[in-house]
Amino acid sequence: MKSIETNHQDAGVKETPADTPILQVKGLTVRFYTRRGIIQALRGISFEMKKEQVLGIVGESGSGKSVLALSILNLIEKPGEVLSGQIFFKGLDLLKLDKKETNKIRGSRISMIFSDPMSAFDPTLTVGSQIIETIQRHHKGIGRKDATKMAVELFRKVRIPSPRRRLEEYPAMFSGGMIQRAMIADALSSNPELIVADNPTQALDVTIQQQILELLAELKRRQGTTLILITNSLPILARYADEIMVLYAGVIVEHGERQEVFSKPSHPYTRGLIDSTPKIKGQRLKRLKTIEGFTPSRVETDLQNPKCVFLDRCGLAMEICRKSMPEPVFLRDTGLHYSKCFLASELNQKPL
Amino acid sequence: MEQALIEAKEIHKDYPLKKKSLFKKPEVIKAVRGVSFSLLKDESFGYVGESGCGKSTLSRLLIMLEKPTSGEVLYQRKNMHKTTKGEMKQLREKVQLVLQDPYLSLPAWMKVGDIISDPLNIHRKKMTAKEKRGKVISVMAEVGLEAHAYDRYPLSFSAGQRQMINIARAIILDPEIVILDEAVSALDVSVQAHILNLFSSLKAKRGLSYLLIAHDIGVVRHMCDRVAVMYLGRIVERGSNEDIFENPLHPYTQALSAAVPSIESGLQQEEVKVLSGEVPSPINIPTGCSFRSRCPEAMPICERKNPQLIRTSETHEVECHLFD
Repeated sequence: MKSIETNHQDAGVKETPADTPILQVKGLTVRFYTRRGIIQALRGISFEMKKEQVLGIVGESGSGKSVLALSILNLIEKPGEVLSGQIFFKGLDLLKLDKKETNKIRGSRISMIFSDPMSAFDPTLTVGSQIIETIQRHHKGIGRKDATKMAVELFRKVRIPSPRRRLEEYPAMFSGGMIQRAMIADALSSNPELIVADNPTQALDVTIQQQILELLAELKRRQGTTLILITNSLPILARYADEIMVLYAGVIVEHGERQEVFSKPSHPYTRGLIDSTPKIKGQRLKRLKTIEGFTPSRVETDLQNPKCVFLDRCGLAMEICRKSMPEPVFLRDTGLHYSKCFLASELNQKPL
Repeated sequence: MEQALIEAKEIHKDYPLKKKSLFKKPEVIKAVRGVSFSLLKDESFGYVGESGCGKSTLSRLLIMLEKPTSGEVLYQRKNMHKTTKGEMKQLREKVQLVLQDPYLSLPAWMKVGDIISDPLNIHRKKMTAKEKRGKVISVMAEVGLEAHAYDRYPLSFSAGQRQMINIARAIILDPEIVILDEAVSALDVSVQAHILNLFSSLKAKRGLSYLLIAHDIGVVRHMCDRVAVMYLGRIVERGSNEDIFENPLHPYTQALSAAVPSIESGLQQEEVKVLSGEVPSPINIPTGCSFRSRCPEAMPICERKNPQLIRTSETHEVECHLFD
């Protein structure tokens, strides 16, 4: 019985010893079991990242992007389950580690920044005490005085003014932008090699968002961190990501270098997302070009039905789209840019 | 001169905080500090600004949920806050509101049809049940909801569909003005586009006027004929869509536009001018120009004197010492 997740092939995964990617995700499939049915959160996700790269992942509600972030940090718990797949971090399969080993890596070599800073901080403790605790956890034997010094330095790095005073305040006393910076400071405290930022600027004002994104970019440059930037806003990735990955209903529908994906989007969903975003420069349209329908309810009634995930909303759907999920179509000689659509090559040549 | 549907004249809204000591004056949040504007018939007027700018307070004042501390809000020349009960009831039919949250705004225990017909129960008591149902179904079709949704509960609908229910409820009394307070902010981009197109169709079909309040500049640019930029309770710049987006004058307007990520500028790696600092607290508003603490063009006069509103063209006004 072929189900949708086994139809996928790994895309562009190279395995040369001298060039080992820092992160390799292979065939990751995650399900959630709920009262209303089974949700296929991720279906056979495969990709890899090189050191110091920024991977931008874009998707709307139900795309699976947050589940992907949690999977990398091995935080999927009941009613969720990693059905299959591997996540190699520098050759180590994160999904096969025991609790002790996971705790060694999580929060130290791999850190996460959440979209809701309040979920990262305990409201009943001062921000300083929490950051100091993180520092002490990852720097064995460091005394409180030195840890405090480090915390002050981190706050300075993320441009929180009056750092000493701020460390003694509670999360509720921080503005949205400030608490986000504090979370970045916390995530940086262990000098991680990989940071997963899940919608780090979601609830922030646009001028503050700009500050935070510029800060992340600068810190990444200075510390040589590899960064996964997850967002529901495609334009952010135009500036900050090296590669773009478009997620829809748990499937990667398009993946490629930034310039290519934006100038030659080759999947109807990617094109739809670009068209749906109101622009502040250029021609002011009377109506926005839209994608039909709504983001899908994630309860699968027919797990074995091998149709294209985007079928119900695709304006270009053909008969073949009802019968199988398209294989990746590679659009460049290097094999980096691909799109899972039977019309990928045509769309690639067609300007928006 | 076109008659204004709504006219706001120097409205202020203060929220006094609890007294901290017997001897000190209580601190006051100055949410709106002297805002004046007019909404004309058939126009879309947009308010854009970030946290603390006062736009949400403004929408509450315009929908008569709260009274201004001083100043007047006039609807067809009559003071909205000094009306009789009967006049107020009529007013509420004419001015409706769609809010941001598609989840909290719909009672989970009521069927969709009952939610949408609720305003009819208050304002159209003379309608029969059959007539009400007919009107609800008709309005549902207008917003794109299928008739069978009538007997279902909000829980089974997506965020976008829930907003459609909210919109249906807002238009069923055939209002003249709809205030859209962050009405698409909680929606996915693809759904947002649908809803924005729906707003455009409804406006054209029904001759509606919109007051759109949003932090998303792209949405304001797409929808609005005239735009006001707010900062810390004041309008710092106001003009036509072209004025604000093609010729922004106030440093804050420029910073706001520059901060919006765009695919073109991102791909070209255009240099980013980051606006530093945070919005000051509305309890402690800086003297002189409230933007001076973050303004890249701040001059000594900005600390001493409040800038006055200066008209730079027939449609364009700005409050900034750079244009004195």
